Amino acid sequence: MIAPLSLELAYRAVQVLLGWSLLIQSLEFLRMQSKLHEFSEEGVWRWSLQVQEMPTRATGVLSLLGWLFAPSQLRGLFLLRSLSAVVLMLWGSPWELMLFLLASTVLLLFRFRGAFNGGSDFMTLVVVSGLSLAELFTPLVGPTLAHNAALWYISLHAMSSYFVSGWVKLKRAEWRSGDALVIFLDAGIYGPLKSNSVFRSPWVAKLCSWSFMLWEAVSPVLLIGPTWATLYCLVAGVFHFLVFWYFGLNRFFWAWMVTFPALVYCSAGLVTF
Amino acid sequence: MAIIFFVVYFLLLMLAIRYKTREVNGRWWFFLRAFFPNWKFFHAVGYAPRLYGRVLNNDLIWGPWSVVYPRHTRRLHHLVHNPRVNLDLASQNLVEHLVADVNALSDGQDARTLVTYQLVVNRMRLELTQARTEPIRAFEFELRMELPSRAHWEPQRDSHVMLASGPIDP
Repeated sequence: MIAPLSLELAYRAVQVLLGWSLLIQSLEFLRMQSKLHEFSEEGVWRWSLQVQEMPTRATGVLSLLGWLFAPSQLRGLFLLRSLSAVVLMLWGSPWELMLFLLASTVLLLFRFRGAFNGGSDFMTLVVVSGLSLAELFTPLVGPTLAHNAALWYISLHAMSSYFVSGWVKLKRAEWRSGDALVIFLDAGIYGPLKSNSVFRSPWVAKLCSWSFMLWEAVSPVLLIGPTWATLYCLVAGVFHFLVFWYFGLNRFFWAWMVTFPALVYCSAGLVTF
Repeated sequence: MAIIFFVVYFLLLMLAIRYKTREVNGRWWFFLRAFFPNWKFFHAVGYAPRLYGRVLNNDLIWGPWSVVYPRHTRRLHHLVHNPRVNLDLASQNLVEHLVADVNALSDGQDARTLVTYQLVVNRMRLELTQARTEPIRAFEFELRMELPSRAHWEPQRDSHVMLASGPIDP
C-alpha cells in the first residue's frame, strides 16, 4: 500500500514539475527564435502574415501584438517565461507570477494560431490556469480549498485526456486490428519503422494497441486509491516516454508528468471530495 | 455523492464520444481552443497530407518531385531539448490546417489568399532553396492527400493532388 500524498506536497510537486516543463518549452522557443530564425520575417511563422487572420480588427490590439511579437520583444518574453519557470520551481507560485504565466501563455496561443504543439500546449494551459485560479482565490477561500480545487481540476482533465483518447480509439476498426499503430509509427518523425521491426508483426501490433487503449479507457480506476494511482502513473510515464521515443513529443512527456502528483493526491481524496 | 458525480461525468464523456457533437467554428474559438481541449490524439487513419516540391534550375529544367516530410535522428537528450523536431511537428500541423482551410474555401475563393497557404509557401521556400548551392529560377509544390497502408509508408499509390502552387519565385 502506498501512503496518500499530502496536499502541500502534491501542490508543491505540481509547481516544480510545471516550472520544469515551462523551462524546457521556453528554452526551446528561445533556440527556435535565436538560432533558427523561424519567427522572424525571414522565417516561416511571419507575424506580418499571421496578423491577417487575427479575430479582432481593433487597431490598438493589433499594434500592441505587433510590438510584443517583434523579434526582440518575443525573445524577452521567452526569457521572462524561463526566469518565471525557475522562480516557480524554487519558490512556488505567487499570484503575480501565475498571472504573468497565464497571460503570456494566452499571448503565445495567438502567436502560434491557437497552439504550437497541440496537446502539450492544452495540458500546460490546464495546469497554468488551475494554479493561477488557486493563487487568486486563496485570499478569499483559504489555501486548503483553493489548492484542493486546483488539484482536482488538473486531475479531472488528466483523467479525461486518457479516457477520451482510449475510447475514441476503441471505436475505430483500424485501432482494434492494430493497423493504425503501425501506420502512425511509420509516419513518426523518427520513423519509418524498420522492415523487421517487432511492431510489424500483426499480433504484436494488436496486443500493444489493445493494451494501451484499454489502459487509457479505464483511467477513472486510479481514483480507487494511491496505490492504483501510482501504478497508473508509472505505466503512464512509460507510455509517454515511448510516445517521445517514436514521435519526438518530448513536451507531451513533461506536460502530462506535471499532472501525476495531482492524480495521486486526488486518488486518496474521493471520499472527502 | 462524489462517486455519483464522477460516474455521471464519465458517462457524459462516453456519450459525447459515442455521438457526433456539433462543431463550433469561429476565429476566437480557433485561437482559444486550448481552453476547451478535446483530447483526441492519433484517433483515426485516413488520407494524410504530404507536401511534394521541385525546383527549376538556371537551364529552365524542372527537377524531380520529392516529398518534404520531416525526419530526424533520435537522440535521448531530445527529451529535455528538442527545438528542431518540435518546430517540424508544428510545420506539419500547419499543413493539416491548410487542408482544413482549403476544404472550407467558398466557391471561387483562391487558396493563395489563405494565411496557411502563405505560411506553407515560406516553409517550402526554406526547405527547397536553403541547402542548395546552385542558383534556381523558381520552385513549386503540390499538396497531395495520401492514404497510408500498413505494408508501406512510401511510395504511396492511393493519393490525389489537393492543391498545386504553380511556379513561385525563390
